[in-house]
Amino acid sequence: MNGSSFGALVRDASYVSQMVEHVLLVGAAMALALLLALPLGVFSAGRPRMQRVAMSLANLAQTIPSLALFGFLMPLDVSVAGVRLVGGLGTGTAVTALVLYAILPILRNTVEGLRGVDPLLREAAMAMGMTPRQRFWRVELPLALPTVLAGIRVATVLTVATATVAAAIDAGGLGKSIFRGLRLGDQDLILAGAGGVAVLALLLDGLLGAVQALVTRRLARPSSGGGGRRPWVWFVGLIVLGAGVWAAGRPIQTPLITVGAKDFTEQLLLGELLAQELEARGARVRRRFELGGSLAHQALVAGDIDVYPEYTGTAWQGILRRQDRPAAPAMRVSLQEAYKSKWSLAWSEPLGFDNTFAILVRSETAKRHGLTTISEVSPLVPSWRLGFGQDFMGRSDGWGVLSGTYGFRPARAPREMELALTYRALADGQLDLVAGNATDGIIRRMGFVQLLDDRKGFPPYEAAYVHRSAALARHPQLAPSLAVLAGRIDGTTMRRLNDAVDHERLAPEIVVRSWRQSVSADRP
Amino acid sequence: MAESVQFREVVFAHPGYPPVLRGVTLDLPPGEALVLLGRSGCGKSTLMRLVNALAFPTSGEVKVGGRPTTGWDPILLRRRVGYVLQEAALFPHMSVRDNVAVVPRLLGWSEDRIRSRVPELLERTGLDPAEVLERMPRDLSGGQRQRVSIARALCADPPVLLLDEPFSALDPLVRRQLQLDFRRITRDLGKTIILVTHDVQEAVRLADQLALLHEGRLAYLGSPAGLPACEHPEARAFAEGLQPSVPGV
Repeated sequence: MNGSSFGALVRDASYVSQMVEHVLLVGAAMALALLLALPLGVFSAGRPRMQRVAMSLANLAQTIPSLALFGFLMPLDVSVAGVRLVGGLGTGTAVTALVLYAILPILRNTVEGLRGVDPLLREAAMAMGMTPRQRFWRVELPLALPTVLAGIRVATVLTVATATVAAAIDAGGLGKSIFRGLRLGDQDLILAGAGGVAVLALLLDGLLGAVQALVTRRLARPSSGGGGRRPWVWFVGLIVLGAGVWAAGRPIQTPLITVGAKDFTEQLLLGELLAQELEARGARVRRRFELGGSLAHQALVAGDIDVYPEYTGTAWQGILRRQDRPAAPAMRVSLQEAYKSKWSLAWSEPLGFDNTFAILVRSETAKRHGLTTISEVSPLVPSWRLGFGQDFMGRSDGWGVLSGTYGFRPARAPREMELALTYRALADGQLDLVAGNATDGIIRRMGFVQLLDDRKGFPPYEAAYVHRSAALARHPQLAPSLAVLAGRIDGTTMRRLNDAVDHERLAPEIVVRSWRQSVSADRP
Repeated sequence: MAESVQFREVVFAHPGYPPVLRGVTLDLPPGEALVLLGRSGCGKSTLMRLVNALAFPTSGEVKVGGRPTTGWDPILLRRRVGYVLQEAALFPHMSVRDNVAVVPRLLGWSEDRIRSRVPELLERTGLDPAEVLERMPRDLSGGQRQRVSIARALCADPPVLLLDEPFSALDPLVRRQLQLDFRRITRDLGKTIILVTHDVQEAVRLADQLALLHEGRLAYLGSPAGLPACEHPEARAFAEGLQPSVPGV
């Protein structure tokens, strides 16, 4: 946590591109929100019933938590000319959600601004012989404009903040840094992301403040003749701007094959690894990494991605919702069949490591008590302090295995805390036993000892790639890429790669590239 | 240029309410000034709104220039009727120049013509164009604002001019000066004028014809000098307010 690493982050090209993505997201969302909310506000300002309906809908949209809103929008499929605008992963869905949030402040202030125009001035405009349109453009709108612009400022700042969530569905932006930072317990990253958002919000707010002053003054001077023309130019400009930003946010050419990955380091590495193998064989690859939770699976089924790395245990329980516990080879066969019949998806050969839960103790504890297996710990547990991540505590194949299969009976209930913090607490001696992921680089670095799962209580979490069956035919590079990776990565290798990213702060693409070079150098 | 204004048995009621005007008849020849006197809520403002088609009679007829208001395009009629509102009602987002130029622009005058016309009107209403032309209404005094408002109403040279309590918000000295100036301006221009007020002294100073409106009817219609002789209780109530300054009028 020092200044120089923060500075390095900010100079990082990916940080700059996140900033750009963020601005594009906000720009597209605001342009669209303005196009919807301004006419709606103008239309409903004089119609109380219409106004009530519009305002309640806008209010409703704003009460939905952003992640839930993405959940509602993802299954949709609103396509125009074969391009999916709303639904699935990416910019379209994110922008739609942001638009729904931004509408309320703009709509409310437009209505309030127009209704707040002094009735005497309205009467004056009418008595001067202005047509309804002239009254609107020359008197009502200019007088409402400060209020309308204030609403736009509020909406912009709101959108800048909300756009961070877009990273959860691969729409990019500064949220990437924040999510990544939260995952890694990396304060610098969180600070860089949040700081960027704050700076952006302040900047845009200031900019709009200046525009507000400028525009108010400009509109105060209706030029001779067609006074309504200039506002229309503004409006058309907005449409063009929105369309431009929208177009910039979408790829010009549909990439051939889309590789997905979930939102943690190992997944990024495995996704990048396959992407590089594909590229080495001449494929054009689109990367859609950092998909949260079970989004990756949904995206694969929906056809948003063609392939992503998955773990057998996760698929077995998390996706197929099976409670039984077959051995690793049997599980692989069943998964293969179920995936094929349900979704026409296929599993590649395992990569060669098992990212199961690792039950960890300090090495001196292991030495003092001569511990190698989980069974041997069980008698010591009553006097021990245990701590686990929320995920482990919540799952039947997590804490349930220790308390059930191994009969763990600690005197004090296990502490439930952030996974990254359990490692720290174990190292500091505040906890005596924690559960990690077998391939976490930190296990090696901290010198923890992983106890053997001697009763086979934990399900296997063998890593492999899941892909759309149809992708094999469409992308001839896929089969050889998967074949060359089968069985190539053991637990030690994976831990080392993870550590290179999490601890040494190397970019996944660089870690993968150098590993591939070292491996190909080893080959005869 | 001036036009006549006539009311024939005019009744006006908002739908579902008792009538505000209960049969008003009056005849205003071109170039004369009618002052409408009455208490708040007696229907003065409504009567005026009937002239520029902001409202239409429930029954009866209002004619401007010999043509019923229902026969005019209301937008075109309003551009031919100057209107000075209470408290000036200048558009706060426009400079003095743009405020005064509103109606000429609506009429599609050339900018050259407007450029020469606006300062002329400001001068006529007693303002220094060089000083006030580019100012915003909030930077003017109350009296200046009201003068700009009169200039605005007169800028497109309308044959009829309406004024709704134009001087009521001003302090007495400024009001007096403005009344005198207004009298001079309108005499020069020869407009047909309807002015609404509740100030009887103002009414007597400015009127060719004085109309006293009471509960929707005309309690008095005639020369200002005839008001004290009127037997109607409302007329006597107003005439009392006149007594001290009658000799000076």
